[in-house]
Amino acid sequence: MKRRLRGAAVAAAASFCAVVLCGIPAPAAVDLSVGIRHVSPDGSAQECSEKARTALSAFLQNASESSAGSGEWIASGQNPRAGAVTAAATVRCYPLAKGYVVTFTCAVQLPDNPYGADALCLDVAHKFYGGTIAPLAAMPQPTPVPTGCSTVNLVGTWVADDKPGLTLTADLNGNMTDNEGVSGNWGLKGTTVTLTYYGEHTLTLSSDGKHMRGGGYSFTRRC
Amino acid sequence: MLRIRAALPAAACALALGAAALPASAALDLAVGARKIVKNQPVSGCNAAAKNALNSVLSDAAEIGSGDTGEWRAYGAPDSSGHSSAAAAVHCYPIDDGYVVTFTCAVETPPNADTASALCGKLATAFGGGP
Repeated sequence: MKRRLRGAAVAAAASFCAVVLCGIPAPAAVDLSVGIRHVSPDGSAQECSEKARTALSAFLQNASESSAGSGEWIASGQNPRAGAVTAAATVRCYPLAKGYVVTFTCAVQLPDNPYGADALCLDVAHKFYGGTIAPLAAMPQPTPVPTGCSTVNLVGTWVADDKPGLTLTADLNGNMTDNEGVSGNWGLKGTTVTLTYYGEHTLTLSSDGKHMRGGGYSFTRRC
Repeated sequence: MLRIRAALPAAACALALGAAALPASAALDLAVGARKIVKNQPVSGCNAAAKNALNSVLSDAAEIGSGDTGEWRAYGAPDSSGHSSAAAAVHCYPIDDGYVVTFTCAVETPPNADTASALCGKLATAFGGGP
């Protein structure tokens, strides 16, 4: 009995680790674009600032001056799927005796961001002083959570048929948490369900995706 | 009951292992660093200081474009997969009686330990020449 329990524990840990490791994203890297500089023989620093804010706002959000009157502008782009900022740019104006000089520097985090830093900087610069603007790929949206009694996943809340107080909430990533906060994992191959929850259990999903039974467990999905 | 008691440590262990392995969501941090006006110095001095500062804080500083553009960039040391989580740019531009230099930094946190602002602070210090 002890050996069986130990085996179940090892299987639980191994299964959990397998799911977690599969979910680790590819290593990310910073991509920095430097080198676009524009010298305007006329125009005021104020004019540069206004154009900087407009150019940044065309592609990013929250354009702001790093300190009031500095002529140095920064903006960022939120990536809904990554749940983080993955693009940003600065436009820095400096007044000359006649006109001004302005530099464009952009950074993105790859591979999360759907376009590179050079593409972003070129568009911001062209918006500032004129030129062809190439459309940037849209930020990826979060993967929608499936609804209903899907037969290809276990996402949703499951209620134990013999203990209505016991519920399991399963997410899209193969994680599962019961009503007391104890977590485990689920897997589904065809109609065979593998639950790693106080050991590993094999159940069968019904053809309507609403029930799973086996190994002494019986659950019904709320859907 | 025995089954539950025995399995709880397994679940806890699995959770602990999972928590240790799960990476926190990385975010890009971009900072507008210092702008310095250096008088009575040629822009060539800015270029030399920019290269030195970048190489002292990051690595492989290079001037972007052809000729003396005064636009410098460097990346942090790459990790085992060849990716860098830090980068910075130094822009030098001649003005009538000297030059203006700006610092711009980007990091990915985590894994980078520094914020972009801290990285730019190190660069500005390494560049020297006062505030």
